[in-house]
Amino acid sequence: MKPRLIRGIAVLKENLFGSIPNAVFTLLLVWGLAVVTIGFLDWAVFNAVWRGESRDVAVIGGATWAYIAAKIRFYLYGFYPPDQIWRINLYCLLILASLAPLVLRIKAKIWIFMSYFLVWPLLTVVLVSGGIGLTEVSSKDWGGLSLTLILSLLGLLCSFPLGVLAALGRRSRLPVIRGLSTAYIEFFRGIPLITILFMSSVVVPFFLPAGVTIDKIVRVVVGMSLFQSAYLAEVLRGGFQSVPKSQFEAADSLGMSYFQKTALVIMPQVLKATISNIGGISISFIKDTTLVLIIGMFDLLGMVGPTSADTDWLGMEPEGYVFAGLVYWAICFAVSKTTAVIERRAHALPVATARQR
Amino acid sequence: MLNVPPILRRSRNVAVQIFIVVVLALFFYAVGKNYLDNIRSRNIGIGFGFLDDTAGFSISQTLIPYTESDTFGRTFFVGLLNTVLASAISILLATVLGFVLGLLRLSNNWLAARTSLGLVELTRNIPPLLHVLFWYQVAFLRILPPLEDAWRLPGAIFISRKGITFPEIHATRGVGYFWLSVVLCVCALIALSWYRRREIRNGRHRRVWPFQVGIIVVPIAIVALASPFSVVPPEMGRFRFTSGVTFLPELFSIVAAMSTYTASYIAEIVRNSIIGVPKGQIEAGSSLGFTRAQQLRLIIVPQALRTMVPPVTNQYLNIIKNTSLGVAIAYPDLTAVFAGTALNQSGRALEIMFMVMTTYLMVNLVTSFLMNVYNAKIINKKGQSIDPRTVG
Repeated sequence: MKPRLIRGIAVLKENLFGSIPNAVFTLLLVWGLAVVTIGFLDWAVFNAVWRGESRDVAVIGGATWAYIAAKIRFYLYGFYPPDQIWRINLYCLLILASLAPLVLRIKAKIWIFMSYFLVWPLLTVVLVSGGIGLTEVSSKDWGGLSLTLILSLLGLLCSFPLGVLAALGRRSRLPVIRGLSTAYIEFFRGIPLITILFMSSVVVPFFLPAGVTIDKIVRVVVGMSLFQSAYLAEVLRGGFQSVPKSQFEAADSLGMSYFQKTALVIMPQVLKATISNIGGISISFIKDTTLVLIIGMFDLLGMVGPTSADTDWLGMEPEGYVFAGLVYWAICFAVSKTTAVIERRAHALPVATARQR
Repeated sequence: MLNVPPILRRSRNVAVQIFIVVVLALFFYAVGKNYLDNIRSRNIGIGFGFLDDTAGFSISQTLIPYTESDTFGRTFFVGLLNTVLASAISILLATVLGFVLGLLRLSNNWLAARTSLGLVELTRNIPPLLHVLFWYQVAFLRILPPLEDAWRLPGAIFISRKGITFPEIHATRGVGYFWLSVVLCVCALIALSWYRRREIRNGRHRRVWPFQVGIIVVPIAIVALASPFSVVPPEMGRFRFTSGVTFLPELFSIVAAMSTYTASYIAEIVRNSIIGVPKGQIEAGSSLGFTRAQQLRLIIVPQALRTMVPPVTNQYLNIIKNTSLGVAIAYPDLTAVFAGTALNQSGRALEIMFMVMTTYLMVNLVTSFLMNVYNAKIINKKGQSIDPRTVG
């Protein structure tokens, strides 16, 4: 038997240069990849400028990361008053701390999850918005990565119960509930998110009684949750279809009520079957939060515009977009890897099989 | 719960449904009343009468004739056509790109498979809006030359930061014969393919491609010899081309962004569907002496198409909805023109949003209907034999 290295080289040679067209293709690909990689590295690393006070330090063919360094406060916190930034940091820490119990192997995680509906909005109002004991900061000044996180977390949280309700409603035997749920799901899946954001920013104020206003950020979170919940409902519908019929019958024959059957027997199996899809639409949702820049809110992506319109840093959009892209990429990649871990764990649990001997 | 008699349960169900309907009705009544009060106190009109009013703003890309003195109703169609244009091109490119990336993912060539995976992972984890802004502000506005230095392509086509400008084509004498020949050619091609299919069903194979080529040559020959069209080169003004047909760099950006972003999703779908084709089919193909390309074209792809169509349809619908992101770079699509400028000019927020949402819903329904028809067609093909000549 040949040594491993030589065998590996032989396999690679066959794989990459097995025939003449394949060899030509491989060489072209290597050339293309090399050109792109070297070009990007030249721009982003070798010719890049890391320190400086204004765009005067910029060089042709190199990135000016000094701009990101100078504007990092805006990218993270938007126009939040600099002396109040500790509140955002504390907020993020507390949110992270509240997520920590989910990693532990304990029972009754559902109650921890339920508590988020109380804790997260409360934290957002008390710490980020202020007004009770702390200086009030208008939601117009929220921005940057922290706004992206607030929108994503609250939006995903609110969309969950709505999506579950809509999915259950679509399976209901009662024609009115089924019809309304179906209409709800098909309506929100058929229109672009941006029209919902336009609705919530332009039309919804007309729907409120005179003198009553709802903060824009609340309207946006509600609109985005409605949108997201329709997609979640569709994902869950697939999950319901994957649960064996015998599970429903077993629950019925044990005399369980509709609520007991759904909460204790069916939903756990549905959620388990749809983990990766829920992860997928969560990623879509995080990406969709960028749309708020169109209605004049400055999330992470939205900060590229105002910070590169600063006379000291004119024309720094490429750096801004590459930076924002890296951050979004990292967040989405992390979520998809976390989903994979959760899925692996869930599938290691004992399985309810359709037929047991 | 078990002890509830059926008659009670049924009346409870009815009561629950009536309750929900009443609550919803009250909710919509309250919202509607607030709306009427609000628009009355702010002196905004109601109804769709404003569609006949003069819009009074210009639109940078119009596929149908439009001037500032046209109505709001016309701006709707201008915007809708721009949405359809951007969606159609994006769908076409995304499909091609997605297929190529998906097939590369499955390539035996390790480097090609890895490159494809890398591209897919890179593009799909970045927000589509960032794609749009990046293509616009970083790629096109920096790469394309300013108007004065526009690149000139053969045929009087100009490319600059203001977009790609094509010459106007005017009909001259003899154009009627040209259109007549086009119609006749299309009819002849349909008849020919019908004839060929009938002959195949009877077990005969006729060589028809020389006739097909011959038929297509006719209208081209008429254009070359009789020149029923005259080409008017675009005239360069100070800020833009004053004549000619211009497609905006905003259009390129939205198309580039949507086709690359969605291609990464289509690539995954293509890959999964191809993996889903039973291995025995491929082995059977190999044992019959099919080459890899023939296996792909004649055995794998036709079967993979069946599982591919529903999820790919969803991606097409996403593209149609996502072209509304063009509003961020002021591409004059339905959302930007009608839900943006026209809404600000007329103040009729509810009516306009209603029209825009209904339109997107309709476009989505029509697209999914067409794809369902296509889906039914390819599933029906199951029993049909493959034309043996193409096997070589």
